[in-house]
Amino acid sequence: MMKNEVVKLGLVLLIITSIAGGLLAFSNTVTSDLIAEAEEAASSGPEVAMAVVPGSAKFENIEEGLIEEIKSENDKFIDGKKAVDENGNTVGYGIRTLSTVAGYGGDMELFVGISPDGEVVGTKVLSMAETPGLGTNVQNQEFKDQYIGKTTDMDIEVVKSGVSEDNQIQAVAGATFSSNSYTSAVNNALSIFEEYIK
Amino acid sequence: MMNIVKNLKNGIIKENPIFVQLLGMCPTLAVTTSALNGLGMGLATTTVLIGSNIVIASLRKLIPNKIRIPVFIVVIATFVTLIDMFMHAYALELYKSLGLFIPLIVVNCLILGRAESYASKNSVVPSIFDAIGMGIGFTLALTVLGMVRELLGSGSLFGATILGGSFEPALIMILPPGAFLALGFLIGLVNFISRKKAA
Repeated sequence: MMKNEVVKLGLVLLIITSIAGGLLAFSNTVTSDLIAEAEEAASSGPEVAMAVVPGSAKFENIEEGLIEEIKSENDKFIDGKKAVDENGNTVGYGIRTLSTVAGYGGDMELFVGISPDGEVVGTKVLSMAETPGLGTNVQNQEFKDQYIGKTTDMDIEVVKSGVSEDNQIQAVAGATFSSNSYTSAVNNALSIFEEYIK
Repeated sequence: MMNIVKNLKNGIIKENPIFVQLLGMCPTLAVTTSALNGLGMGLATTTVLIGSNIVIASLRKLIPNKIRIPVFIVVIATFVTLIDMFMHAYALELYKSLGLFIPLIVVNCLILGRAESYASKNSVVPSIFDAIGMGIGFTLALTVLGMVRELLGSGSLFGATILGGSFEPALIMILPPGAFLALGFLIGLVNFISRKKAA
């Protein structure tokens, strides 16, 4: 008697989980492409291109082989794109990289825009887990603007106050870790540009 | 008709999941850093609650008593995974800001609690209204909590700056301690009002 009941309960559970599994498999096939598209648009769509390289209209892929080569030699590098304007002229490059120095919430992911002659033209955070209201202030325009015009031949440094050299930027008040992490990503992007893309 | 109104009122006021029953505290405290996050989390939870109440109420005579809890969990987890996929596809921004707390709806005791104490004992229609009432109550509470924290902690409401210029945001309100402070004061306020009414 006991055995029968166990089998029966098992069967009921099996039926219910199979239905649930089937339903989920179906909705996965419906949404997986949409999810990939939404992720792609949010991380490398035209809006990101315009924010990172002013004057551009969208990103275009660069050779697969080069991306693979950079990836194998720089483990923080994620992707590289060419930014083109409406007529298809190259107006800069976007380098997507993690920071090499962790912030309070681990590595940040940044898109760094660099002009063809090696100047930073814009930066954008794709993901971060910094403290809201403190570390997340690195996204403020005032802080980000400090990177514009920095070039590949300098190693950008964070100072707490009193910027005196060209390669220095002032940390966000109360968020030196996050500022350092942000800067390390920009530095990494600059060195990738210098070594592989220029 | 009377019952429906009673169900709704029960969930929104008399047995408000957050202010009265104190259920589902984990998402309540964690995601209410802004009004929009609170609203999004509330709506996602409500959708799961309605779905699971419908399925569980209609299967209540077929589900053997001994395995009802695993069955409830499978039903709830299925709805949560559906929400997770569709939100990821259609509302990426919200999906990213709610993060881990979407999958955690599975273990929100509000949903399992309604399945066990209401849907498994009542027919489909009342269960739907029970879910709607509880869902609105939950969403309302999360949104109010998010509004209080966002207003004090970043000087804005639903992302629009309200208290600009001279207002110095009290950062603590959007950090974890602010969740406890805001929730405590809101529960105090709700108790104060309900006692006055009763007296």
